Amino acid sequence: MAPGNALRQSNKWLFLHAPQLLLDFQLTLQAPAQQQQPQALVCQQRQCLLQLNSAAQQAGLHPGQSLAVARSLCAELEVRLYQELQEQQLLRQLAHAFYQDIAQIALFPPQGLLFEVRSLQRLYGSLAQLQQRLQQRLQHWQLTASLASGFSPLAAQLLAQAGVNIVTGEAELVTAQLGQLPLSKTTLAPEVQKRLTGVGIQHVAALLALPASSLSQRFGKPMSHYLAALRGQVQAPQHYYRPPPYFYQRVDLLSETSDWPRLVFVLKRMLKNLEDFLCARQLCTRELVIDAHHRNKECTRLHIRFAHDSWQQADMLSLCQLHMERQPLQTPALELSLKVTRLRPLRAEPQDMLTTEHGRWTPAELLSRLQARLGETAVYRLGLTSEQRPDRAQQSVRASQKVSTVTVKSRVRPLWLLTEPEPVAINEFTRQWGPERIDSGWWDNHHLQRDYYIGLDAHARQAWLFRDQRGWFLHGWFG
Amino acid sequence: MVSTIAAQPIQELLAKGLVWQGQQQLEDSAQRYLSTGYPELDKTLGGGWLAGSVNELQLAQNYSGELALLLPLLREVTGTVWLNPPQEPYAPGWHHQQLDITQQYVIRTETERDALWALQQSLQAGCMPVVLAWFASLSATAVRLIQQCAQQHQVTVFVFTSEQSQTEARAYTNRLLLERSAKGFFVNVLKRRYGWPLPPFPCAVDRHLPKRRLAKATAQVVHGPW
Repeated sequence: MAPGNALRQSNKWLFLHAPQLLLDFQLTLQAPAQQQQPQALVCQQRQCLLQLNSAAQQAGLHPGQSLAVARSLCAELEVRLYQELQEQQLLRQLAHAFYQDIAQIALFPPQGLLFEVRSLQRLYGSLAQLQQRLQQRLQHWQLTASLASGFSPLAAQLLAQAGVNIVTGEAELVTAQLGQLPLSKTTLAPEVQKRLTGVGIQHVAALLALPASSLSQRFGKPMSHYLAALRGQVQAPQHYYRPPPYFYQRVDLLSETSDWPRLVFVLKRMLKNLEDFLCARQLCTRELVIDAHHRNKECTRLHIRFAHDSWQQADMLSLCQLHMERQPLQTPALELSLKVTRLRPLRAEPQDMLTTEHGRWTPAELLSRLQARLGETAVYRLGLTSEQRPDRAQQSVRASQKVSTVTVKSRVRPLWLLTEPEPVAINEFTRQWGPERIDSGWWDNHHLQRDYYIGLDAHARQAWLFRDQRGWFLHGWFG
Repeated sequence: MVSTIAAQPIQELLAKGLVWQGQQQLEDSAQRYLSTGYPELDKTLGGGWLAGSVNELQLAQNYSGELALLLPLLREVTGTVWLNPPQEPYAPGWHHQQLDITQQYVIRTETERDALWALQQSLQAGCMPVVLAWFASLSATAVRLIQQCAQQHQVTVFVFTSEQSQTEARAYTNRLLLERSAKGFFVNVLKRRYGWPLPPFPCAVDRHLPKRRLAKATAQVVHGPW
C-alpha cells in the first residue's frame, strides 16, 4: 500500500513538544548570571539527568546520564529534583497561554500540547502566520520547543518528540519526515519494537509500507490500532483543554529566600500572568491569596483584599508590596503560590470615569492602598444600623463592604462616642437636658436600661451622660 | 536712587504698585475659598477656608466645639478623611446633623510615621476634598510638605493639636486657637493670610449643638447627685 494513498489528507494537527519545560521556566525566574551556571533536573528514582540548560550541555552532559558521571564531568553542576506535578501545572499554564490563539488544545503530559489547526486556517490565512504567532509566544516564554505538523495527532506527536521542526500543509512532506524516523522514536512498546527490528523493520517508512492486515496478524490488534492512529484513519477522541474558572500558579524559588527584592521579582512575573489571565477573560478581582511555602513549616498566607476592582499588574504589585512591607516573611520561603478564586466581570463604571479626572484615584483605590499598609481594620467608613442601643446604633464598614442604607430616625446624638463608657463623678457636671430613657435589647443577652442626659463639664463642654444601676457614666461628647 | 524714590510723594508710589499694603486684601481669582458657614469667621479669614490649604486648629480642650465649627463645611463636601480622631465619630450624631455618613472615611494608624504616610496618600488621591487629622505635634518640615501636597491636589486639611506653647513658625495658612469658656466658644486667630493676629472673638458654633440653658439658669441648677 502506498503511504500517500492512505494519507492523502491535509495536516490537521500541530504538536508542540517542550523537552525542557520545567527547567526553561525555572531559568526565566533567575538572574542572568545564574542562568549561565550549569543546571540540571534529575530523576530521583533513577538518579539520572532529565533536563539540562545550555551551560550544562556545553560541559558535555546529556539527558539520561547518571548523576555520578555528570558530577565527575562537571563539578559545579547545580542539581534539583524533577517535580512532575509542577511540570504538569506548567503545561496547563502553557496551554492557557496558547488558548489565546488556538481554540482546540489537548494536553499531552508531561511536555506536549496538541493543537487542532484546520479550523484556524481561515482565521490566520496561512499556517505560516499561525506559526509566527506561536513562535512569538514561545519566545515570550523563553521555551525551547519543537513544533511539527501532522495529518494525525500521533504523526505530529512523533515528529515533534523526535525534535523535528516542520510546519506545513503538505501531507507528503510529513510522510517523508515520518518515514525517516527510527522505530526507537515511536511510542510502540519496547518489546514490539524489538520484534519489528527482528524482522528487519528499522524505520517508520518500512512499517507504513507493510499491509495493515498482515501486520495485525503477526503483531496483534494493538499494532493495527497504532497504525490506524498514525495514518489518521481513526480519530481518537481528544480531551480539549478548557481554561479553569480560577487562577492558580505556584513557583519554585529555587533556593530558600526571605529576601524581599527576589520575592518581588517572582511575584511580578506571577502577577503579569494573572493580568494576562484576567485580561483575556475580561475579569477582575478584589482578592489575592499569596502563600509562601516553607521547608518545615505551615505556609504563610497573605490574604490581600482590594477595595476596588483590580486587574493590572502594576496596581496589584504596589498593593502587594505595601502588604509585604507590613508583614515581612519571618521564615525563608521555598515556593510562592498565587491564587485568585473570586473573579468578577470587568465593568467600566461610567460613573467613575466621569468623576475621576486623570491622575486622581477613586476612594476605593485610596482605601486599597491604605489598608494594604495599615491593615484591614485600620480603615473604615461610618455606617448606621437600626439599633436603639447607642453602642450598636453605628457600625464601622470595612473598605470592601457595601454600605447598607437604613432609614434611621434622627435623634439628638453626640458627635463623638467613647468606645467604653467612662465612670464619672456626676457632681462635676451640670445637667442641661434629659432624661431620655433607652430600654432595649431584652431579647438578647445585652439588655440595656439607661437614662441619658446632656450635661456641661467644668470647661462648659456638652457631654452625653447616662445613669444605670451601676452609677453615672460619660458616653460621648457633643462639639 | 534711594533719594529719588524718597522724594516722590507716597501716592505716586502707590499708583505704580511699588508699595504693598498689608490691609488691602489681595484679590486672587485663582484662589477658591470654602465658606466656613460663619460670616464673622469668613470675614477674618478673607472669604473662608482656602481650598488646598493646611489649617491648624489648636484645641484648649478636645470636644469643645471644634467639629461644630467645621460642620457647615463638612456638610458641603463629599469625602472626608478622619485621621486618628481621639474618639469614634458617632454615626447617629452625624446623621442627626445631616451629614452624608457614607462619605466619612476613618483611618487609624499606630505610629506617627504611618499617620503621615496615610495623610500623604489621602492628599495625593485627590478624591477627598477635606482631611481632618489629629497630631500631637508636627515638625516644620512635615507641615511644609503637607502644605505643598495639599495645594497641589487642592485638598483642605485641618490639623488638630493641643494648645502649642511655643510660637515657632509653621507653614500653616491659618492657625487658630479654639477655646470654650462659660461665656461661649471663642476663636483666637494666631496667624492668618493678609492680616494680623486677632484677639479672641466669639463664634456661634452652638447653633449646631443641643440648646444650652442660659447661664443664669445654669447657675441655679442643683448639682447632683440626683
